[in-house]
Amino acid sequence: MKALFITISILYISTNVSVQATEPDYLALIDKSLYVEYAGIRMEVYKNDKLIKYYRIEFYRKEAKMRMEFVEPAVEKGRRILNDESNMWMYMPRTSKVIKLPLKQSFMGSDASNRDLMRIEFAKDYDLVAGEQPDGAILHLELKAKNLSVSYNKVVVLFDPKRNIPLSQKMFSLSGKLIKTIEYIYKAQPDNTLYMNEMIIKDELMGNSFTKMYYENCKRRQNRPEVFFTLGSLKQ
Amino acid sequence: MKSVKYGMSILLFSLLPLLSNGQSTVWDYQLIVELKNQYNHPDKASIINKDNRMKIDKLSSLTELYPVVTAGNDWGGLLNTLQAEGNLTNYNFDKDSVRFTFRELYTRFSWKGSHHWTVGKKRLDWGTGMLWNPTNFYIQKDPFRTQNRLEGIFQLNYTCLFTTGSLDVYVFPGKKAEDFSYSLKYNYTGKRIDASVSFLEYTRYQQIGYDISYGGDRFITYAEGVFRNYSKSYRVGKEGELIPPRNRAARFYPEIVSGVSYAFNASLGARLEYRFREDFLSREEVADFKKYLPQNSIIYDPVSIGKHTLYASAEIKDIYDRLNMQVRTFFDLFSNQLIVSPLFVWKKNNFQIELSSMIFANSLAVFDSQTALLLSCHF
Repeated sequence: MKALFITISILYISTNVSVQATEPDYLALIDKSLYVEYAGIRMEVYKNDKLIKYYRIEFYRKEAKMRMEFVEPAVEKGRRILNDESNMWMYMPRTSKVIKLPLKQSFMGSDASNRDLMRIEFAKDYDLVAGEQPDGAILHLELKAKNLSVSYNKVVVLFDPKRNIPLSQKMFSLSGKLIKTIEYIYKAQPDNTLYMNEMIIKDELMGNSFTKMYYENCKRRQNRPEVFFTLGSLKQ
Repeated sequence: MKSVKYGMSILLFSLLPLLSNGQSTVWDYQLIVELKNQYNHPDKASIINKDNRMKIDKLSSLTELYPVVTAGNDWGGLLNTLQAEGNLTNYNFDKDSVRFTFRELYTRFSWKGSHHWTVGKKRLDWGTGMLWNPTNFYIQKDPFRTQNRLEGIFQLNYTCLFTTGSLDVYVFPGKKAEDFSYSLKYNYTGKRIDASVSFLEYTRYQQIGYDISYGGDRFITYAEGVFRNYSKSYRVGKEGELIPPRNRAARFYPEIVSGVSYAFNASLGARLEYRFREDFLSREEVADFKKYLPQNSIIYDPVSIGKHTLYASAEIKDIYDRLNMQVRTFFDLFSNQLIVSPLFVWKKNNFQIELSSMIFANSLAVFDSQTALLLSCHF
């Protein structure tokens, strides 16, 4: 009965029926829980449980704009990637050149696409079309892409309504095939706030490979100016 | 020796602000070693190098060492950065061919992220073309290895950043007063698009340039071009006489590059790039050039001597980007110079091995083929 009520409420919200919304805006809550303006990231790519490659990255964000600066390995040191919502560029220190990147290209030989990591905005890209609570604790939210430019047509998110955090997500193609899964693992900070501590991205089409991303020193706010997230700044 | 002295002066000048606040200075070091061995197979029938007239060795080696030092300091909002990139080069393990230069040596002051002042030798990052950058008046990339570390140019640069673009003012002092050059460049960023326009006063000549690129989900398309009233290329007259670049500065020449790259999936990609150079040889001039060889061989370029050049490449890589295979093709529509170049790149941790071959298919070519093995290590 409860599940039915939630489903109906969500359907009302998503179809813009003018009723007083009693359910929280789950997409906004997902975005909020994943939002950090700074993090140190260690990214590890595995095949058959064997570490293939790793990166250490400084991650910066201001609303939808994101910037990554590669610290390790030495061969990638100084490389920078910027997404300003509609463009993505990569700065190559050895040539001092910036090249533009297609959004759907694989991210640095990992299981994630550029878009997976450099555009994390559920409220902007998806509509909530269904939600149910089969086990009484975890919400299963079904999201549909707002348009064809979004990487995955359908996403199912397992959401913990008590802690207001996503636990995992499954991404499906237009034909309904499962393409990727992402698992989120959290760690409580000394001030009792929850930060995502680990993200595991699995390419379901590959089967035997996955990418782990460890987040540390996460900050919800940092004081980088707006111009830090521009093409001109990427070259400096 | 002169360049080392000159470099050391800039280095000391750059270090002053850093050393004055030494405790909070953040230093960073990197060392890159590149070892290239090449096998050259001369084309005996070449009309440029008949019977190996140029006496090109079959085997050659190039060892390069790049020490890179970066230091940064924050003076309460005013950030100071020093970047020094040296280059120690040795040919064929010959002790007399050891050379040291600074590829980059500059200091930069940045105020609140928006205003940047740079003094020193720094690479120019102009242009959107992947192989060819006509807007870059100073130096061109090696089209066979576009990721080579290029030489910087001594400059004084001020950059002002906005949220939708940036404005650059450059001054390039020369050794003599008449070598003085300057440039203004405006860069714009919009939805999926970025573009720039530039004006360059290059010694006593002018260049107006532009570039633009558009990014889709799976493709990138770009264009870059200049109109300039100077040329750096020789031309050949009807009687076989050489016309030097300085005698060709009476009118504006366009040079245009456009290209597209497409990522079919995580493993497969392709690129196409086209270049037009008004100041290079027409079909008739190519015929004259061939007729009066070898005295005109200064005009010769192994990739292209004509006005129109095409480049196409296909790339396949494993999804982890450890192994990358490419086939690259260069074709000059007027001289029929054709080069097919397979390339294999293997990466593991901080090591990279590149095996490339260039197969030349034209009587103008100096070589039948060149095969190179390049090992890079980053520390």
